[in-house]
Amino acid sequence: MNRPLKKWHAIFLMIVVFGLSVPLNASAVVNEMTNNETFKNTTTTKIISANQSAAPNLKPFRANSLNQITAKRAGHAFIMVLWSIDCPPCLKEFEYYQALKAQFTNTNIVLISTDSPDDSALIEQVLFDHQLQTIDSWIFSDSLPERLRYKIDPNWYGELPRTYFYDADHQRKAHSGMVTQTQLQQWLQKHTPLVSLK
Amino acid sequence: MKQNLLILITAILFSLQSNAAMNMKGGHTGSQKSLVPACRDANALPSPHCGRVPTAVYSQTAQRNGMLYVVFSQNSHIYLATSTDQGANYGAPIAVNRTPELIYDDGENRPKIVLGKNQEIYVSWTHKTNGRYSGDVRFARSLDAGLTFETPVTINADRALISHRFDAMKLDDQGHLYIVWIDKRDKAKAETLEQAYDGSSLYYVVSKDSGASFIENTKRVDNSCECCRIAINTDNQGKVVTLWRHVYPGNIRDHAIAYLDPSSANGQTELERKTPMRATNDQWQIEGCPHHGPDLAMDTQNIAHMAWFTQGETHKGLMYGQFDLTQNKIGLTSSIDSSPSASRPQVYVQGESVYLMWKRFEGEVMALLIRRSNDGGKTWSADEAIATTLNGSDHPDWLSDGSALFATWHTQSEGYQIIKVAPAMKAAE
Repeated sequence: MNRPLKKWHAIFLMIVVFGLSVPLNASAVVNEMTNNETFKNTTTTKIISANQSAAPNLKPFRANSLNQITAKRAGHAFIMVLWSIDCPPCLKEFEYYQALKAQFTNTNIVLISTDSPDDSALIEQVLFDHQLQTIDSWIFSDSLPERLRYKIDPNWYGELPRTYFYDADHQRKAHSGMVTQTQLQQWLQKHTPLVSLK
Repeated sequence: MKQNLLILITAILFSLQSNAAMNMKGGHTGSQKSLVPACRDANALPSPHCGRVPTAVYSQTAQRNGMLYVVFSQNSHIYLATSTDQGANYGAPIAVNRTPELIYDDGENRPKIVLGKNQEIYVSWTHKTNGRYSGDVRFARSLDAGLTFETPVTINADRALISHRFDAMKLDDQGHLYIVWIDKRDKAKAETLEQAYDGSSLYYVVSKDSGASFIENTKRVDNSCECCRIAINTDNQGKVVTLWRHVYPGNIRDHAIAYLDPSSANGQTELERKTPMRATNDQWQIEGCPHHGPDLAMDTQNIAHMAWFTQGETHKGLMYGQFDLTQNKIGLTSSIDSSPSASRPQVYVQGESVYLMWKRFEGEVMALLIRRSNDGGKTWSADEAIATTLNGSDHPDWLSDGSALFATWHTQSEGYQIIKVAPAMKAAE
């Protein structure tokens, strides 16, 4: 829905905010990063996105991608989150992930957007906004998205957010709807205790 | 200045968030650029194959009997194309809106076409305005059988940059033209007053002069779901009936049915006539919109035949059901397909025959399935796949020439297909 506009919108926002961020110096950025006020957080994130300039490494999720994702995590527990920019609860849930960001590694979490590659700019923006840009991120890339849904889980109706909790043996539990921050913390403590010491 | 902009940006980001718990992704997903070889030619004319969300109707007037009219979206235009050979070939298309404008063409939103008795052609669609989920309902008519269209008009009187979308259009027995849509003006008003308001509302207009003018925007009901298409049809008296996903208390998103004009409805009091009736009882609690609206067909006994998608407590998957508009009660209800990969159910009634059509992903291919009942929906034939595709596809739709029934399906790799479903079986009067 509204795809050309959304992309435009994101580009516009980036331009506007980059323009605004230029007069700010590095120490101001650091100070703001410790401030929890949402409005300043927003600024900070934008500055990061502008300064880093590199987009998060958004990989195309194709029919065989789940195999790659699990193979890379053999012997490790991880959380796989399916989300979309059209899904307000997904964005709400991202706040929890953002709060626990320090405990996430390249291995223990993977984000998969079910939007189309046309939405890449906005997806990257949303990831930056939630400071999740360093997390392993994928985007649905198939002319028949149902194929990808089916590959992930033939029993999934497409509802979002959809979260899969994989244990170290890759036995998984599916959860539809938002997960709570407590649920996430408990899972992290149980499955990645060493990481949480970071 | 800087502060204001930041506040604006924060507000935009915040508007994307809510306390909702779950969402469904719907409409077209994935890139839908046509894969039809002819459409890759930069000089190719716009066509129902190359564009998006084509919607067709057969003319049954004496002058143009059997002429196929198809409206579709391409390059920020709604186009009309005609065919005299059941869609095998199309003439050069004509732009309904000469000035390009952004258009919602995601399946749940698609252009509508209605033919009048005197060669009038009415077309409606939803224009994307600035902002997420914002839109205006647009209308244009042709009085010369599609040679020219008058300048489009915006139907919603409220012009705030909010949602006025999901238009549906129908002519009644008197030739009065009804347009109904989902409108967020009451939600927006409630928000400024910091009041709670579930969902959106349904507004409608009527034209009694062939689309030259419309009555003022009239609210039909509060608390419709925000982004599921509205189903519309006429009863055995030619009165306009609508079916939509409603938001019942507790965020239960089941369906409601009503005569669009309350004076057509049964009921002793005005309130009774105005109050929509609950048409499905699935107990689907979902905080978010599933982007998956119902379909409605009427039989000669004023039984509404309905097809819909739900994930409720009592029903899950694609459902078929009946609602008796003479008794105001829910009748027969049965499952069409409860598999997670089934979607977009459509229903059609022809005499005692009821047809169901829907899409199902079958591991490798997307199939278009048909099921038929010869006893008014009590028993059903085995499912039959009438088409498959390997790439993206639109919602399927029905098309009738007054005797034969066709399925229409726009797919990314095959283009616009018109598939015969049933031979002549005119409804007994």
